[in-house]
Amino acid sequence: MGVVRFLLFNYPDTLPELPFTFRPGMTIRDLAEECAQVSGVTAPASEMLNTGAMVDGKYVSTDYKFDGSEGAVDFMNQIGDG
Amino acid sequence: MENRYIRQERFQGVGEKGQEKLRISRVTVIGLGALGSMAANNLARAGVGFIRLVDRDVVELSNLQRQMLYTEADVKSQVPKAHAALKHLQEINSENAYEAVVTDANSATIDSLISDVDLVIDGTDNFEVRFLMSEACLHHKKNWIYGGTRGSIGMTKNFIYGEDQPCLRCMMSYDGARNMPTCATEGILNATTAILASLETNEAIKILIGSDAVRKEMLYFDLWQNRSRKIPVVKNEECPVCGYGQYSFYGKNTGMQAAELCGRDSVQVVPAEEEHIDFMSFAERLKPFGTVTVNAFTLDFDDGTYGVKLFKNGRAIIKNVLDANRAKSIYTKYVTNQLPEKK
Repeated sequence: MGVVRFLLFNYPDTLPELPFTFRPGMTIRDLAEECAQVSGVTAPASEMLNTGAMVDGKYVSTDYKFDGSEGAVDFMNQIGDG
Repeated sequence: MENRYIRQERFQGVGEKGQEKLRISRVTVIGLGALGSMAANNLARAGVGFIRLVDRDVVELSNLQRQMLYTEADVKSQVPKAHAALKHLQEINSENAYEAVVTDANSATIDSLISDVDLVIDGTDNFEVRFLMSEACLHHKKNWIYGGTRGSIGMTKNFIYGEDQPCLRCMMSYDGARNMPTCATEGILNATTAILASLETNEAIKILIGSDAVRKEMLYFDLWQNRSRKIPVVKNEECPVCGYGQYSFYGKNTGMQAAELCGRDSVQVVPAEEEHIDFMSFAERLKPFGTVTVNAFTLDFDDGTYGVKLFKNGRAIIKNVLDANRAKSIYTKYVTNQLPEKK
């Protein structure tokens, strides 16, 4: 069992974390679409895919395919002002 | 003799040895807005021996809500932020050395800004410069600290040079980081920027004195929602930048550059080659087209529709325009085409 974490500033009411089992062959796009269906996740899949995702601390594209060994996915907006 | 650092030295993480390391340390702060000016202030007070202050812009009234180093007098005199910061920091701690650099951090200038310092602090407001900074720091084997903010949210990550260490590209793509909302559209709280800048400064001090307490994760916080989180970031062996050495920004010369400025109806234009403009004679050339005012640092021109704030190195901020290409056209009309031919 892994975890999906959400740091999406337009959706502060979305669950901060969601326990999730990453199935081999599923993609980040699949994951975003499944997460968007979960009660408590108010962010749409498009928002999750907007900036890509980090899998176990590394940036991946939306086509990334899980092999089932992953522990954590972060859907996270980037913040750029200073 | 009175010691201004006595309280800091008494903190066991710093001590007298740490203080001495700070004294001989050299830091560049790129961008002197809310984050950079606060970080520079903290570093100067902490006794960092040399601080290079880099910014391309002037102080504006809307800056004062969160850019703690500046005053209304700086707004009135339209002084570049780098020089305003230098003046105030000299008044705060004259024992340090400072260098004010009024320039755009780009592929042509970045080497001279970072190659001779121990650490680079990010006070910028866009990811184009951050990716450039990341690649340049990798090339020069420098440590740097990323900080980004918006509203009540802050995010920061230390990038320590090393073969097993991640770079900015390991954790995000440039395409994914573009077109994010800005402080101009979403607002910003001064507590957010003050805390984030202080976090950057605190890590800077640890890095400079060689502490083993340097944070490895990215830190995210939301002051309004009372949330914070540390997010692990690791090196991606497949990273095009630190994995394969394929730079997308560093060393790339792309001619005249134009970039929209954070919600100000303005576009910055940087010429392909640096100029050395004599304002007095240039003002005469522009007078037939509109009003011209000159001070020691900038030439301001207004044709009734567009404004041009011109710096001596040829960089300009084109006002009342949103489109980069339109801004380039205005620049070409009023700057490039009015400059005397190069001998």
